[in-house]
Amino acid sequence: MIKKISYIIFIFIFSSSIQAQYKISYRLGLGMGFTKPDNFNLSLSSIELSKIGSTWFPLHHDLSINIYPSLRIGYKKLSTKLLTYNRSSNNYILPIVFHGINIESFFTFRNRFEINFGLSPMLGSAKFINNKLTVTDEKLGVEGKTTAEIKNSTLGFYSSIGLRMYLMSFLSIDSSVGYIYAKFDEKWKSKANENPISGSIDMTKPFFQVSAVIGW
Amino acid sequence: MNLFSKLFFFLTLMTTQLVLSQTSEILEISKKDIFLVSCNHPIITKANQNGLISLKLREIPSFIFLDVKCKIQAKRENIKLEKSTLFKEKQTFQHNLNKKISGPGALVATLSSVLLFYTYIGLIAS
Repeated sequence: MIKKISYIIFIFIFSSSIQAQYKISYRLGLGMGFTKPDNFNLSLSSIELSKIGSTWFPLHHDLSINIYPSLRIGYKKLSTKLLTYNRSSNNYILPIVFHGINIESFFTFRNRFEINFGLSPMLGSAKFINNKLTVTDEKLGVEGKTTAEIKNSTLGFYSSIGLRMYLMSFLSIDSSVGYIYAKFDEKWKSKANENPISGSIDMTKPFFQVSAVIGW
Repeated sequence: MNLFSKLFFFLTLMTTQLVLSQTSEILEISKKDIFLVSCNHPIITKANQNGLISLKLREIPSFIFLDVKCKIQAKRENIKLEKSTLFKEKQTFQHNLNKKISGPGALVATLSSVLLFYTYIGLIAS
């Protein structure tokens, strides 16, 4: 389904008869958001794992194409999969990923500034995972790595207002204030039918980000 | 030697000379115009005449490649290129174009700002 939608968007963008210049831009930065993982932490406490923090620092990147004067559309991803995941004890980590379509309108002022307004319907996924488990075959004395994980998914929405400053013709810096509307419910899925973790994580909190943008 | 073999010998000589002269001519032309191949490419010409705005999405990577190649070749040949104002012109054009929001841009801006305004007001109030 997602593949079909992205295919339709791709076709729409590249066959559009709009005469405006297509401006491509790639944004990479760091975000800071808040969560309310109280129920999830209660579950962790019940199996003697330490609590996870209520702040998350996702790496953020998006690729946008200008499809209309003062409007761009693209793909956006917020992820703590790499380095910035929240940690529990015993090598358990909680990577959270949100990705989806980013629609952004903007206007310029002064010589180098731009204010942008973003709307992003997003698909979120969270995994509580331990990928440093080892299994030993005692008869042969062979060790192998294995992973234990439970996962959860949700639909989310992100809206933001940001300020961009153009440093050069192809480089700018961007910061924004926004709000994420999403909640991971109590149903965590695992390969086994039952698991001891059932708490929800509320992501509906303010979100800030700073990023560098390269573009054409 | 009969007349036929004399004629054959003459024609062979002439052809060789002709081919050689043409080859050297081609070599001379290509030496002169190596620089012009990338700098006078239709995409570069189009950008110079109509601005970067006129380039289509698929032409942009070719333009970047040819532009860099042109500059490298100009440096090798010790030719001074005029400082390009294409980027500045494009930036100025887009800056002026995007001073106002209209159409779908205005809708997105309104939705986003109204949503954020009421969310943060609610957050502060609570």
